[in-house]
Amino acid sequence: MIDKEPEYIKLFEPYTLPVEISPVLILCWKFMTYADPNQFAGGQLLLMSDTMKQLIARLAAVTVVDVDQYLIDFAKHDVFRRIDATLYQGNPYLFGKGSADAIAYTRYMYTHTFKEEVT
Amino acid sequence: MFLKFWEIEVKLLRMSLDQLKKYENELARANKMRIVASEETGEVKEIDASFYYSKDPSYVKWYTDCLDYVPALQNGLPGLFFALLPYIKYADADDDFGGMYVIIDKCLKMRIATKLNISFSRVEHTIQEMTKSHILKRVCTGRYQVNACILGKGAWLDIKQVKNQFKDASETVSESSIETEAVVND
Repeated sequence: MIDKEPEYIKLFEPYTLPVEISPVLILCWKFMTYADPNQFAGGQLLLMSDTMKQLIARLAAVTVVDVDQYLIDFAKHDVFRRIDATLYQGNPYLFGKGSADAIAYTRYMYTHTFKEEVT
Repeated sequence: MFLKFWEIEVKLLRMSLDQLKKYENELARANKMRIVASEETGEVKEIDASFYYSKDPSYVKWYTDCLDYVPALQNGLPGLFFALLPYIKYADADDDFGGMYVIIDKCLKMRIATKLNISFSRVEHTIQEMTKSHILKRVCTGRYQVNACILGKGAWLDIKQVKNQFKDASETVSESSIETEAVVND
């Protein structure tokens, strides 16, 4: 049996995050798609539907309201940017998921495409 | 992949793809993508690599199935764990301990204490707590190995050896991992 490497994200230099590490953040990384030039905005997307919120809340042993609060916090600190009400994109300057070329493209799209104002 | 970048450049510079394609080989060889062209004639004057990186910046692998260790990280001092990350050595099969260790001497402790604005004893205490909760493993005096279930640095074959050394710690949390996987599969 081939021992395959588990799924991981690349945490880039300077190896810090503007938010504290939490189970919700780890699960957001887990359910985030890979960086992919063929995906909308270059990938690293997180579709945060009600079902996904409930699943994350259950796995992280928090409430759905807490998950919402975490997402607001992530958007405020630019860990995930809010593209739409249910769609978030991981900041490829902090962390990446996928190949170097794909992440380079995601970085470009992250800088040059629209960004919704967080209120 | 290159075509995607080409398309962006075309949009940016308002040049036709045919005009740019003749420079494709040159760009691929130089691994540089941005083109600065004359607005009047459309002639390419300069090729700039200001936004394209063929290689990732330096990074550590953070495994996303490390959920069981997160409470221990939260209870400790997460800032201290992040402060240690730049000093972690690469996983190395030829090394006696398998690599992926960090040398925590008095100098580093003082540097971290200053950086995080905490006391020296708090740093020492937190490192002890991390060792108890299997985030770090003391391999010899001042040398701590990082749990390869949470982080990895280097090639997977080398990391795997370090991970096997933490097998005992992983077994204690395997039950909750199985439960997590079951919920995901539902």
